[in-house]
Order: sequence, then C-alpha cells, then structure tokens
Amino acid sequence: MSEKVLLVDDEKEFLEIMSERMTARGMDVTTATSADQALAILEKHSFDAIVMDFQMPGMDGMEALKAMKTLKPESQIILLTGYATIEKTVEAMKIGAVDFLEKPADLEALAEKIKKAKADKMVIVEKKTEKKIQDILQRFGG
Amino acid sequence: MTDSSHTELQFFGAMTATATHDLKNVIAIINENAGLLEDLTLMAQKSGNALSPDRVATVAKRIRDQVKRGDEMIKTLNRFAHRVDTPQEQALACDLAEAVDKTLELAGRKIAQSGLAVTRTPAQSPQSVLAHPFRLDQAIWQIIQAAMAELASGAELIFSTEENTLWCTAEDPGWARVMNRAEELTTPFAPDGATLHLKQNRLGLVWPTA
Repeated sequence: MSEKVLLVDDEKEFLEIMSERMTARGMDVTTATSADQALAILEKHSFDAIVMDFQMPGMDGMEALKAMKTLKPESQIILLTGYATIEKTVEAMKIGAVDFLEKPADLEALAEKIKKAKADKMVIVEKKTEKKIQDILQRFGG
Repeated sequence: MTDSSHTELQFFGAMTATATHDLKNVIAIINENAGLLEDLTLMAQKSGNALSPDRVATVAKRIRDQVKRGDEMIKTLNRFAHRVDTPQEQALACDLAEAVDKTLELAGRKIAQSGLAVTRTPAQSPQSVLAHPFRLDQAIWQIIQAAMAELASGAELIFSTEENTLWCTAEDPGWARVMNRAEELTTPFAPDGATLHLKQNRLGLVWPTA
C-alpha cells in the first residue's frame, strides 16, 4: 500500500516538483503551503508521515509541530529545512519530530524515512488498538 | 563585547541567516528539478519513448529562473557584507531609498514569518544621505524589529522616504508602543548625526544630506 504523505512548504515550486517525484515513486501526496493550511487538512485526514519545512511565514515551526502533535499525537513528522542546527534539532525532537533532513534533501533518503515513519506509526496504532481491546475486555470481564 | 557591538552582530547574523535560508530553498528547487530530469530520463529509457521536449524546456526554464533568483540574493547579501568595509567613525554618501529597499529584501522572510505586512511607498529619485552604510541599514532594521514585536499579526507598516528623511507609520494600537521606544531605537545612530522627528503618527529619522 502506498504511503500517505502530507508535504508542507511555502515554496510552491518545490512542493510541485517534490509532489510529482514522490507520486512517481508510488506515494499518495497532499500538499500545503502553510502550517495553518496543513493543520486544517490534518483535522480531516490522516497521514503516514508529515514532511514539513521548519521555517515558513505565519506560524512558527515549533508552534506548528506542537499543534500537529496535539491534534494527532501519533503524527510522524519529518522536518525538512533550509537550516539545521543541533540545538533546533534537539528541541524539535523533544517536541515530537521523528526525523530531520536538511535541504537540499536526497529524495531516496527521504523516501526511506517516510517508509520507516509509516512502519513506526503502524506499531503505535496497533499498540493503541490492543490497549483499547484490553480495556474493553477488563470492563466487561473478558 | 559592548551591548551595541553585540546588537550589530545580531543584526548581521539575522540578515545572513535569513538570506542563506532563502538560498537553501533556491538550491533545493534546482536539486529537485535535476532529480525530475533524471526521473524523466529513466522513464523514457524504460518505456522506449522519447523525452518530451516541452517537459525538458519547462525544467530548463525553472532552473534558469532559480539561478537568476539565487544570483539576485547573493548580490544583495554581498552588498550587505560590504557595508562594514567603511571604518566605524566614517560616514559616506548613501542612497536612503536603496537602503530601505535592500533591507526589506534581505529581511523579507523574517518579516513574512512575523505576519507583518510592509508597504514601501516608491521613491521618486535617489536620496543621498551622509551615514555609515551598515548603521543606516541597521536603523531601518531596528524599526522593523520593533514593529514585528509590537504590532498585531497582519498589521501594515508603511515606509516612505522624502529627501533625507525616512518616515514610518502604522495604523495599529501597537504603533504607539513603537513611538514610545523611538528615542531608544534611534540613539545608536546619533554618531552619524541622525535625528529623530515625531510628527503625529509618523516616526521620522533624518540624516545629514550628502
């Protein structure tokens, strides 16, 4: 099954080409040009991975990351950015980003990270489902 | 390090960081276009079909446009780097209108990130003032920075230049706080003979005419 990816970047041309190349690799890509637009999409849809530029006009990258994790805690967010400092990486990872890639990124490396994010998300969702079933069984004396 | 030299370094750092971030975006787009060409070539080899000349031409145009964009950014950043070539105590004839335009260009991403909208009333002609080039840019940046901190997101900051004066104003409750900080904002530029003029809702910085 193809990976469902939300790609967020304020550079429209970058979004367009990345989206075309990722789609050619079998991914199902949705794009957003701002964090606000991405959050609106995320409210209605689920994704295996979110690939987001960390520095965009409007909502700050850290704020966007927090809002996404609050909205969908199981979100697997990979940061794609024009600058990468150790401090920012550590801070973003603490908030819940799963990985970090510096622009210009190698698409094959990004595709690998997306696959891993999808597998990790499946484990999280499976664990959640298992816990739900256990709770139900306990409640009804199974 | 003194407070003022640290502020100068912070300004230099902020402008360099924002410009290099934009440059990374340009390189990323060129990189993806090159990748797209590789993808198209591989697909053509696999299918045995010829590459579409239209698609190749589109990619070539995109690359050329980004090279042009990147070149403009490098020129602006290079011009900015050379603003510190002038000895600290020296003032030169500088084009005030150009200084506003170039500072807004450099700080574009930072301004957009803050949610502030900046309107620049076009200058009719070059306006030559006597100032240290770097401190002139820094004075413009100090006002932008104060506006980013004090004005509501979506507020409009208006810049205009008249002869040797830089005028700024905004229709936002936060603008009163910027006006209250006017003395503090402009003190670092007193060595160049820059003086502060407050006229109704407008903040003016006046430099000696070159």
